[in-house]
Amino acid sequence: MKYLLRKVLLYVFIAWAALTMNFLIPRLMPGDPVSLLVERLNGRIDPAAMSAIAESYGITDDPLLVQYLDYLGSLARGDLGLSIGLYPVPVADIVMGALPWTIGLVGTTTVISFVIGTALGVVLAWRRGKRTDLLLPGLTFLNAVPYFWMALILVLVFAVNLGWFPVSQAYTPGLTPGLTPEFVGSVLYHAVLPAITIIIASFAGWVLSMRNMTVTVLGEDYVTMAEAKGLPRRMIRLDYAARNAILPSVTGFALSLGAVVGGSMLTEVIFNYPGVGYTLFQAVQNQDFPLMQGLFLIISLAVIAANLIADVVYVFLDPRTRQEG
Amino acid sequence: MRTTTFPRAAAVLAAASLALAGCSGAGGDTGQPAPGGAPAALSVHANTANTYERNFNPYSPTANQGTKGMIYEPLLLNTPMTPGESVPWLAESMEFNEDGTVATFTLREGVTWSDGEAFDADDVAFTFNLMRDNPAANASALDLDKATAVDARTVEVAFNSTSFAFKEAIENTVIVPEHVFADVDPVEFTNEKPVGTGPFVLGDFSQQLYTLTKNDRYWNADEVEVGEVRYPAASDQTFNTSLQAGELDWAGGFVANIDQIFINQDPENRSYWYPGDGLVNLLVNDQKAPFDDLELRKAVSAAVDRDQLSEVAMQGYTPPAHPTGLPLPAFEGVMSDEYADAAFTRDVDRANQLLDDAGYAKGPDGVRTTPDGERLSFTLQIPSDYVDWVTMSQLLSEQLKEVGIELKPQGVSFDAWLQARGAGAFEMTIASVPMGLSPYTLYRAIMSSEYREDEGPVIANYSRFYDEEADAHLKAYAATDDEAQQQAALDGMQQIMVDELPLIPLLQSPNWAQFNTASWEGFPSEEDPYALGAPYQFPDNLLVVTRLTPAGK
Repeated sequence: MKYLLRKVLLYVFIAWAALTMNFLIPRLMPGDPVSLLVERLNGRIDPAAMSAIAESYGITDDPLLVQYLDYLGSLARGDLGLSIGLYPVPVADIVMGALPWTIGLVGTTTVISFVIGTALGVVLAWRRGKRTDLLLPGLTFLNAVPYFWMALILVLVFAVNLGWFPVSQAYTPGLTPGLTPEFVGSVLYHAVLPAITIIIASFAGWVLSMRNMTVTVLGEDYVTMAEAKGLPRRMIRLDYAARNAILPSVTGFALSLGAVVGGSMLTEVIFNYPGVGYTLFQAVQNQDFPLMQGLFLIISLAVIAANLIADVVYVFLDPRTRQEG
Repeated sequence: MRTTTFPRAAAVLAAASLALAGCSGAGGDTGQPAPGGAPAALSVHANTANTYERNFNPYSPTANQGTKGMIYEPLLLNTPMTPGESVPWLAESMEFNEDGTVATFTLREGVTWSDGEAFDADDVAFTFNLMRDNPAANASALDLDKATAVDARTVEVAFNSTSFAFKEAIENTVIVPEHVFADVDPVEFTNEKPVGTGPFVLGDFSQQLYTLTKNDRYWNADEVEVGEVRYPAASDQTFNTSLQAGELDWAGGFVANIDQIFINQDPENRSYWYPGDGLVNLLVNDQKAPFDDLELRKAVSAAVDRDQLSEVAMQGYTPPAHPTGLPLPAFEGVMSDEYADAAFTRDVDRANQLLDDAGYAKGPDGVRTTPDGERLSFTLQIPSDYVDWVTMSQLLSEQLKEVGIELKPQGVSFDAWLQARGAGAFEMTIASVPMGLSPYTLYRAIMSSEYREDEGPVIANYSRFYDEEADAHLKAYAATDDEAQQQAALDGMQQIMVDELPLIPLLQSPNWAQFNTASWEGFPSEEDPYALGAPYQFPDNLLVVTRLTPAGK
């Protein structure tokens, strides 16, 4: 319990630090969102109205400390403010609109690639030294391929040249969202290509780490002991080797679940997928500080929460951590 | 916390129940008139947006397209295509008092809000007072004093200063319902269920599509044949694809190689029209040496080959600017007779002559130097993501090299470019000036010294041209509503534009509009330029939608 309490306190401190960075970083960036907005509107706003607009958008020259206290106060009330690039839409609305798409796409693909990768890793470890090892260089290559490169290649081949899949967006624009077969089908169809991109580019990492860990565990004395006892191979493979080897992967998995919320920015941008990553990209382009802050906040809190959960789960999975506490 | 989760959830529920009720609407069609005279849809691409947010507040600069025009209407409609002529809309007329400080509107009878409430003078007075109290809602920066409803059909709007010059902006003011806007903060309001006087009301809304459906209470219903307007979300790529596939009736975006992408599939019905809606210019800082020297500006202007810029950088979509800077055909009517046949032509010899005469001698490396010995070598800053401007900057660099002026194009971030432009911290740059609603607004942004700042950035007149004569002309124009006197002032401004080169005009900036008349016809065109054609253009969008008729009728 002491161990957990220490962890929770640590994460509260990290959260505070993240919030403060979140406040500072956008303000250290050069630029003026209102003149960007006015310029984009090309003459629809008289220059003389600009300062009034800036003021109403909450862009002030108050000292940083005052702004910081305001910021903490609004956060405490759960108020993320209004977006500037899409003024006056509340940031919370935009984030809530983007979150389901990212969790759906990146969350699902993260789970899938973890499951595929881990299972494959165990099998490859068990068959080490056999011909399946020839797969390893290929996997290392996939592991090194960046998402966006993979995405561009897939778009070019399957969407542009072959025309099998849509080039962008999350569903056919004409459809009304709802639980209709048509809409759900369209969402799935549009998700195929981005999902494949993410899975291909990320599952190899799980395979490699799981295989290497399992190989290490297979050399342990207790595995030799189990074999000597004549236990069934299946039991040795899963209960002795895999169970111990999966521990580091679980931590990694929890962390990547936290990172899901951040989306897979480049993939989302390439596919114009309306998730968190794409929204963040747009926010940066528009110098939309409130929206950037809102997104970073959600992302950092998700990562912190995932870390905390990983630590907690570890306590249950690995008795050694309990003794240390 | 702003709890907007409920309306969003409600909207999804409503949308879902609509879908369950049978997809009988215009589901997925592309604007083909439905058989049996059912309302037919008009598919519009007005801006690039991957997803929509539910914002229909006419005071929000980023409200969804159609909010102004389709839902909220102006008092009198002024398009820059017909300067000085306004079309009576919610008001039948507007009269200024003697000194232009009070505008009296006589309102139309029989107008109702889409929720059934009557529209009257109180709404109009309320709207102007709301703009006065919320400067962020007063995007035209009108110098409002107060508005009063004299009787149910008459409103007097008083200004703090003579406002003849802002007639168009005053008349184009969209009116909002007092019974809705009185209880909200008009600037922070997202107006999810807009109540307007316009021909359309909000139909369905989703992240990737919203529709505007017929307002059954519309006062001018007989004039509107379009039953539904659809705005599908599109990225730049999907916009091109759907334009090519004929899924859009009316679009306003940049399309490269438009003949192959769009026109050739159906030349009978497909067309585009890119009239000028502003100016693209070469900017220098007129206050700083060496460009405070008019002869140097003249030489640069003479050395530029605008036809090449137009053909190569802009694919011929937009012609070279007129020497008066007036975007055509919109402001043709106010052009001074003496400039009617004027045109920019490249004249390298004249440019060289001007430079020689002004003492810019050629150095050993072929680059001229100022009389003080400074090389005429300049950095030309442009936003690096403006592909057409990047091309232009390279062409300009080659063209000016021939007269011994060295340009070094430098791509910078859009934001850095904005900052440099405002602060005058550039040697040369390319920048556009929007034409505004009248020639006055255009020239004011180019040559008025009211934007002068001794320190810090300026918000218009980025080339910092300050001239007493120009100010006198602008002042003379603003002080009267006498057409002859205003024209005399405009003649003077044109002369300054031609003779003094406050900035160096390059090309007209185009108003992007693509039309597919397979389903609807009556769009503006070169032959019938009754409005600007871009669907993002207010109030022209309203004028266009009332002119459309089903194809073949």
